[in-house]
Amino acid sequence: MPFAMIHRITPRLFSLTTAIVLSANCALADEPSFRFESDVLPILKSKCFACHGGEEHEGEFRMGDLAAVIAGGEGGPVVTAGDPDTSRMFELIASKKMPPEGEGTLSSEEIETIRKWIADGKDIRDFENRQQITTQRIIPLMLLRCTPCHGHRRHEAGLDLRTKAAMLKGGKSGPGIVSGEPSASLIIRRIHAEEMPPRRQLVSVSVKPMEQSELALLERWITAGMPDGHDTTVAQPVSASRPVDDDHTFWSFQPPTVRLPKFHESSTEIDAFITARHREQAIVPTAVADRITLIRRLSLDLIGLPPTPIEIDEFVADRHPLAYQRLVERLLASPQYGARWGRHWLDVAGYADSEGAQNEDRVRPNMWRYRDYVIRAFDNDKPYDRFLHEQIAGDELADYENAGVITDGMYDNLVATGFLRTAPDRTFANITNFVPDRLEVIADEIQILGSSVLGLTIHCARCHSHKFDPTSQSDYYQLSALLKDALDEHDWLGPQARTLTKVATTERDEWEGHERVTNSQITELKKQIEAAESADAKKPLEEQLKQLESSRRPEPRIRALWSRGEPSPTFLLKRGNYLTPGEEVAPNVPVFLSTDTSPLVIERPWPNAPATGRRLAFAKWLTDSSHPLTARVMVNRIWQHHFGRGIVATPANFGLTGDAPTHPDLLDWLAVEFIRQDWSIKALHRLIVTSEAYRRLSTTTPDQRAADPDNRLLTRMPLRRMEAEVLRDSLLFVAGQLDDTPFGSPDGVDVQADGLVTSQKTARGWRRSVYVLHRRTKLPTLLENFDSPQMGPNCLERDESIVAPQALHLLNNATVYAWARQFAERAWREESGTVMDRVTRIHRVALGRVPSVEELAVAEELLGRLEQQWRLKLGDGATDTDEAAIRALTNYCHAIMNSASFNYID
Amino acid sequence: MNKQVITNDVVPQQQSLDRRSLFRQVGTGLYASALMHLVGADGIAAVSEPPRDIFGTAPRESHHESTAKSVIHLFMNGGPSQMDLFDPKAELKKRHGEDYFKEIAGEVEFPEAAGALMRCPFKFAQHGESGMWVSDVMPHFANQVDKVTMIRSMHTTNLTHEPALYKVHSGSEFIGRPSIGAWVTYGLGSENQNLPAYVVLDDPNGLPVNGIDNWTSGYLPPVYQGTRFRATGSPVLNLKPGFDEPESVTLLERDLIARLDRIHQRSRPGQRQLGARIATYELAARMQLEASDALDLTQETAATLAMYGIDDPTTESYGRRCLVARRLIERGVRFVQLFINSQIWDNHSNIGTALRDACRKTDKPVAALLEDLTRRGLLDDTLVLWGGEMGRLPISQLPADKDPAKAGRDHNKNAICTWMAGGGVKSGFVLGSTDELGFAAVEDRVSIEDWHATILHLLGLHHEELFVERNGLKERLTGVTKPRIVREILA
Repeated sequence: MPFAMIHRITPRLFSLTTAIVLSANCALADEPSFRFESDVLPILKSKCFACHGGEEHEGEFRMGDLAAVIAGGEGGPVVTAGDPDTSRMFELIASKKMPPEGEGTLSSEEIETIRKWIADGKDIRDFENRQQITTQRIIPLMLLRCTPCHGHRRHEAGLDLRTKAAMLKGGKSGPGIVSGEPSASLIIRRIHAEEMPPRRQLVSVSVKPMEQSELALLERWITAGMPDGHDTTVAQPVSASRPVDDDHTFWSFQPPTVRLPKFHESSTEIDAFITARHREQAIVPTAVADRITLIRRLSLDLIGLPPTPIEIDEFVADRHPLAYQRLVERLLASPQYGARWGRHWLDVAGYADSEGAQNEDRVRPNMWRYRDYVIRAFDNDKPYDRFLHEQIAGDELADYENAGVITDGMYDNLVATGFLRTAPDRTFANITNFVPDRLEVIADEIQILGSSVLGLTIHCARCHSHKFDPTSQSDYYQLSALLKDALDEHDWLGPQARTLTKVATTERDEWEGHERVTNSQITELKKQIEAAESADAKKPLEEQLKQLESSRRPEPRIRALWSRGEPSPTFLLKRGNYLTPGEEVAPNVPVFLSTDTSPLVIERPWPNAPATGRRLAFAKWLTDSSHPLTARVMVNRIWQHHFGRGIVATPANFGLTGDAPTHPDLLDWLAVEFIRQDWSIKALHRLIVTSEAYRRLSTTTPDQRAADPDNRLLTRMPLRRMEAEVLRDSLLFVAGQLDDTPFGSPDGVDVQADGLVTSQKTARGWRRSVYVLHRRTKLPTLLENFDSPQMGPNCLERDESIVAPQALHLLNNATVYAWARQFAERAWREESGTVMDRVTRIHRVALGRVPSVEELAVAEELLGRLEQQWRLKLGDGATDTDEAAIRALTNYCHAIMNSASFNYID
Repeated sequence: MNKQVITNDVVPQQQSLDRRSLFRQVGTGLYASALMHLVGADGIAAVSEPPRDIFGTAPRESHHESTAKSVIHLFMNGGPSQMDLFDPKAELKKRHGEDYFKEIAGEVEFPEAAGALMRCPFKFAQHGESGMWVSDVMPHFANQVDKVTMIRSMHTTNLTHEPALYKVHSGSEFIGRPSIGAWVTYGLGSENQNLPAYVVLDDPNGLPVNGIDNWTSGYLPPVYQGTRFRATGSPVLNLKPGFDEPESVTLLERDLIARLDRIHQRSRPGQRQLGARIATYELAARMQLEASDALDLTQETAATLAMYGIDDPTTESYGRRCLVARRLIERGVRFVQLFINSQIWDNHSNIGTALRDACRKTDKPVAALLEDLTRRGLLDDTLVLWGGEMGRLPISQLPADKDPAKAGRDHNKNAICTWMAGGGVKSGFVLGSTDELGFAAVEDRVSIEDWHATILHLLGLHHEELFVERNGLKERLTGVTKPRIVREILA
């Protein structure tokens, strides 16, 4: 490979070597010394056919005949004529890696025969020279090197090189190709002369020159009369005929079914499943928690903020038998719920407000609309199936292009498609917008889709069939073909061009009205300025004009993904390499997940729609009630956020190497119930948080820890650290500094000289963390220190690290200290009793409970000493004021903000 | 901390040594008590391998015996010109002015500015016993060549700074993967728990391209991310209180937190993370002391300061960082990385003066570091790395007015010169070669993955075995590639 690359880029230096090799070939132009049929095939038959025979094809590699061996496997060619050492087939055999252990070995004579056959090379070369190059091999070449200027969007010189017919037809300078005569073909002449692609403009259109070997293919194809027939130079896809083996019967590839446990005296269905396991293991679970513990846990879990003392008192005093259920309903209906649970989805979607990838990490100006969409979807309990339809194929749900009025629903559909626009992306610059750069972006989007929705590591199959799961390489490219009318590496929309102006008509009218009024005011003012008599009279008017000009607002835009009509064909890329295209593949879902009962039906979403309907078909297939993964993956994710660990502990991997579910029957029951309740996420919360399993204390006994050290059986509620956003929002909340204004443009961040990143203040304090600009390289330090993910490309499970910078931040950061001061002032204001009354107030606000006797004793002692130190520091001036006492109380609040009691949730 | 501090200086060093060893002992004591918390009072097995939810930087066993214990990475961002520094090309001199652009058109970042083949504007000579070629812009390094292995045949995959920087630091052209420093500290931990395991000394004048992402921990926990030490002021973010408060108050509040946390922990037996959290609060306090000490260059003699060029405004900034690097390595920090801002090696124009200026800022300090490490016996197990993210082209890059006097060189991904010293690599050795024009590495080619695997190997880590499970994949620094360990350069 490296040698080939050098050859390409320094032809002059190597021309001499090439000439020598060629003449050597001529000298040997006799009969091959070794022949595949007579010498090699018998060995392969006896030693290799078990896995690579006609029907069997491990690694998509068959050895049935010479053509198949030369075509190689999914990793590309396996034999190089004349060079056994770089021939993968020989390398694997010679190193005894093949046949695999326990499958017999080749004798040294047999290995030597294969070596000589490759070293001689004549047999292979003869075959290769006889091979037909067909149109199918040529099309990806033209797409790569020519069609950016002579294709779909541009027809420079009237030329379109996407099809054979169009190549023959040519452009302004006549036919592009004369069949059978490469030297008379204009295309060949231009490429030979190095006029095309034009060398000085390569970067401006993000194209590289055609390689010598590619040009040779093109010439051979023309010489042969441009045949269309079956192409034997590429490995044939075999996924369609892939046999159903054991892997296909793996549990997560079968639809979920309900298998109810024997109902003990458990209070809920969920507990029935969990108790059954406790009984089996003879473990006694922890008792259900008290109300004070429960309201703090539930509140931080469902809305991401601690309960207020009033809310706590009300709940504790509520004698209604359904008091807890009523609390659950109140929190689920809270406008703060979406900001908390939407954030979880934004993690798996890889949401960020910047492109990443390049130094400037430029801001994605309209991405926040997607964030708002997700938060609203959770607030409104949008059914999960609909949620997926909109995110994957929102542009195919309604004819927005011809709609007279863009409704809120249509707007939502378009904004939702931002889901497949979240990957880090460097293609906004020509120099990083070549086909391989675009393929990286597509790969990231497929990784996000696969890991978040399917719970599969499909992206592993980009370069080779999955090592463990039945995902073949064809499956990967078929999936990418499903997305192709919106994500086409040969018809690419740069990040700047990915916006639509189809905001809801109400918003648009409002904006237009604003601009109209502003414009007329400006016109009027300009007249006045012209008419003004003196410079003194002009000055205030000009000031006014400047203000008006700056009040103009940019046209509202949506960052979206939409069908751009008929996409270019999709080819399997051997080893994931764009330079080695294989067979063309059709849009399809992974074969091992396809069933007759829920087939993929691709049809235009409405008559004469430009959209292909591929993504909509895919979204509908995903949300079919018999789909084995979609519902399971989502209920597992919701479970994971409630309990800190999923029933399947690997939320992004339900494949063969993922963790087995701790409670498989519970997982299935939840999945079926989720669908039965119309994919309602709030219904799922209700089921989970009302279970005893969720309401248990987090304390443990030595017996439990010995029998269930990782709490896989849920004998207790895990003690959990606040997530980054919950911590920041809760700090603000107790300090009385939380501005609860939702939605809209993100709040900016400031980067200090020492690298500290802080979020900007609003007029009312600070907004919730989900509304802070999420710039990949400039995450607010507080959030970053507590494991807020950078998104590369998404995050399925956050770390819970415990490191010194966290302590340093909470201890020494000036802003945190200022919040402590505000917290202290608030306690001072709201509680006018003794110092200990104030301490009690502080505990109730921050921790949801009153201090213990021991804590009170510590508080009393240290507050006294702190106040004394502050009096010394402040001197006589402070004797008449409360300043020293407030400062001491500030230290107390600061200590509470730093304490484990505050940072951990029982 | 098992390195012996060897010094020529007597009095001040001795005092500081005592102070340091005191901190270290106190540190160990506290750390031991933190470990006791981790173990828990109720008999749960000791945490030899930290569990998944508690990542740490405690020292860990290497996979095999190592020759290097720590790394100083002198990162030369921008892409130093290989044919103007270490890889003389007679053919380039001969064919100076010849048109060559079309041969390499696909490998040029700015085709519209591409000029003809361009000879090196400097004089080359052989140095040391090894006879290694160095051009005359690096007179100080020329005296150190017998300590280094020069690799002339490295290459990368992208000719643009950002992806090439991600590549050289993290093995991938994309954002979000852990840098090599993060991988090394993840694999080996650190020998000093009072300092960050991975320290970055970036330029006080500004961040390099890609900013803090150059030393990100990516999907590894933030404990493995490079911690920036600023050469002046508070070296670590939030290291000291950002508000005015008497020290007595600070200490009282720390005591208050500790007491509240102990009450909290006592009623929650068996919760390991609570002990770990208390330990981080203790570490935070120790770090405050030791980090300030590591940066205190008043403990160094005037002769040492002069050797690093700290007495000269041109070399002061880089010299200070090189000296701090040595002090950190002495204290057991695992990985120290130096950056320079404003791309001084990115010589698109005026290469004759710009490259000379870049060398003036760095040549003396770098040579002093090699010399100093050698004298103190630290070079034996410290691996020093010098190099950038790419190389440069044999053709010139011309300004808009096409004036050849202002010519520079454009980026080149096909050939990079980089060197290593100490830590078990050969001394006075040259590996690999480029073609006759210096455009591409041809012999003994070293990919970025090969380079990464070799560095890990020297540190006793195997690139296949150093992984983290993520989304069902074993993620590695070298990804799914099959790199070779460049055994030719091992001593």
